Amino acid sequence: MKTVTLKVLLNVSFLSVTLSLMLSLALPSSASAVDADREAKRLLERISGTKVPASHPLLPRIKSNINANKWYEAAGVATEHPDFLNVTVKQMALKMSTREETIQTAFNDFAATFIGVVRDDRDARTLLTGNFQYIADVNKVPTGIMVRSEYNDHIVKSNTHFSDLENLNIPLNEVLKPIDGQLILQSRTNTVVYNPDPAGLLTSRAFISSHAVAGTNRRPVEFTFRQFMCSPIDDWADTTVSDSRIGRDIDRYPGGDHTKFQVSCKGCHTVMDGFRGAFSKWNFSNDFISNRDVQLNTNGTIVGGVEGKLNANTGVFPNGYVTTDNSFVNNARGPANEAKFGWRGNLDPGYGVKDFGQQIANSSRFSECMVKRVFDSACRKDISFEDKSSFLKYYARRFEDTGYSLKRLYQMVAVTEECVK
Amino acid sequence: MITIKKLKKPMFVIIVCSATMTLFMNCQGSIDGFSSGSDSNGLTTIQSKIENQNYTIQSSDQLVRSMASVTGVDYASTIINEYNARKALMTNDYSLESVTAPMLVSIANLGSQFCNELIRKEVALTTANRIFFNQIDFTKAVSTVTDAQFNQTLDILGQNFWGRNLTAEEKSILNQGKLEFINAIPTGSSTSAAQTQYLILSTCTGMLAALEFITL
Repeated sequence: MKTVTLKVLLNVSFLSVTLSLMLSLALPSSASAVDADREAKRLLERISGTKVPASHPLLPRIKSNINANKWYEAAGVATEHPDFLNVTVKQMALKMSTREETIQTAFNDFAATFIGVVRDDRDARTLLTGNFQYIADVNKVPTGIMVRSEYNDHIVKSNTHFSDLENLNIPLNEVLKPIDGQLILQSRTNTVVYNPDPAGLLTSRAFISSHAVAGTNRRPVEFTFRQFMCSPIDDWADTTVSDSRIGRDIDRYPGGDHTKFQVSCKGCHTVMDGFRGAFSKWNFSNDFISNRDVQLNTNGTIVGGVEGKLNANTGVFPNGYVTTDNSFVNNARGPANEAKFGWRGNLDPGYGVKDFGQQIANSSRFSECMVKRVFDSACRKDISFEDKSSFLKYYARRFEDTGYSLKRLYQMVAVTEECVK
Repeated sequence: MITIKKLKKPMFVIIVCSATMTLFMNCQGSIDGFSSGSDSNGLTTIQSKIENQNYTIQSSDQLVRSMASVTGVDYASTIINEYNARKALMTNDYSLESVTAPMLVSIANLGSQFCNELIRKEVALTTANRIFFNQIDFTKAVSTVTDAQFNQTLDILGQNFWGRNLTAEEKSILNQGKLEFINAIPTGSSTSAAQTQYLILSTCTGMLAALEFITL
C-alpha cells in the first residue's frame, strides 16, 4: 500500500469534516426502551470516559449483570476498564490540581496519587491526610519509553517524571506504585528528606506550587475548600465570627470605611485567615516546595518559624494578627457555616496542614463534595448543592459506609437515574 | 488527487457553515447567503436533540483513546505526532459550546491518522481475515465498489465505531459522499486503486469525526 501523503490526508479531512457534520444532522433519537446491549455499552463508556467497540470483552459481563438488574455490579465490572483510571479519574484529578482548573493540565503528582488511591481502594480521606505518594515503577514502563525518575531532579525539583508519564503507551493504571512517606527537598544539602507535615494531596508539589507560590498562603485554604468541599470563597463568608486571626496586611478601613470591612472583607478573611496558619511553614520557589521545619540555616540548625509572607505588609493594620507558628482556628463553624460543612471530631487545637486536612476530610461536606466530583466526572454534567442536596447527602452517607471508597462511589453514582437520564 | 476546490460545492459549504455555526457556535443570526432555508431543514432539530440528550464532547485524551479502542490500532508515531500537534485545540471542559471549527478539523485529522493505520493494517491481511474492510478490494478502482459492498462496510464501521447500524438517512448521506467523491476524481485517476483507499479513508474518518462518536 502506498503511503498516504499529508496533502491527501488534508483533503480527506476536509471531506470527512463535511461528512461528519452531515452525519451529525442525522443523529437518531435515543432509544426509549431499555436495551441491555446499548445500556451496557453506555455504562462502560460513561465509566471509562471513552468509546468502546461493540466487541469489547467487558461488555458480556456488564450486560449479564444488567439483565439480572444488578446495576451496581455492572458498574463494578466497568471500573475494570483501564481508562476508568487513565481517563475518568485522571481528568477529575487534573482539574482539581491547579489554579487553572482544567483537564489540559500536565500530568502531575497530585493526579498520580489520586489515581493510586482510587485504584488501591484506599480511604479517600487519606487524600488529605496521607503520608504517601505515587510515582511510576519504571520496571513496568514499556520498553523503549524513557521516564526520567531521578528523585531530586525529576520528582522534587520538577514535574518531569510525571509529564513523561503522559506518553499514551504508558498504562498509568499499571505503572503507578505507592511510596510510603512523602519526600521533599532540603535545599542546603540538596537531599530529599521526609515531609514533617504530610497531608496527602495538600502537600503535593502540584498543589503547593499552584497555591503557595508568592502570595500570602491564603490561597491553599481557598482552594482546599474549593476542590474538596466544593465551596468557593463567596459561599463561606461569615461576618459574625471573630476577626482576631485576620492578618496585619488586611485594611480594616478600606477607602476609609470600616463598615465595608465589617460587612464585606471580614466575611471571607475570618475563615481564610483562621485556617491559613496551617500553611505558614510552606512555600514554593526555585521549582521546589519547601517546609521551614526541614530547611537548614548556614550553621546547620533548622530554620523553623513561619514564612515571612504570612506577616507581610505590617503597616496596613499593625494591630492585626501576627502568625508565629502553624496553629490555626476553625472559624467556619459559625452560624452561616456550621450546618453546611458538618464538622466532626475534635477541631481544637489544630496545627499544620495534616490537622487541617483531617478536619476537612472528616466533615460531611467533604463526602458530599466527593459525590459531586464523581457525579460530574462520570456523568459529565454539573450537579449543584442547591438543586440536588438530598441526592448528595444520601450518596455521601453511602460513600462513608463503604469506608470512603471512591471506586465504589463511582459504581453507585454512575447508575443513578440522575446520571443516566 | 482530490482538490479542495472541487469539494467546495454549494451544498457542502452551506452545510459546513450553517451546521458549524448553528450547532457549535450558538449563532442564530442570519448570515448572508446561508441563512435562508438552513434552519428549517434539520439544523434546529439536531440542536434540540443535543440539548435534550445532554451530550458532552470528548477531550483530546478521551478521543485519542476512543479512536484507538474502536479501531484496534496501536499508537503509531504518526498518530502520536498528530495528537501532540492538535491536542491543544481540543476541548478542556467537555462543553459542546466550546467546539470550534479548528477543533473539528483537528479531530478529523486525528481520525484520519487512525483510519490510515487501520486501512494499512487491513490491506495487509487476506480479505477473509479482515474485520472492517472485508467487502473492499483495495486493488481495484473505486468504481468497482458496489453500493451493497459500501453499505455493508458502513454497517461494520457503524457497529464498531458507534455501536449500532447506521440509519437509512446516515447511509444516504455517506452514499452521497461517495458519489461526490467519485465525481471529484480528476480524469485519468478514476481507475487508480489508490482512490479506493481514499474513499474508505474519508468515510472512516467522517464517521470517527461525527457527533455520534466524538460525544459521550
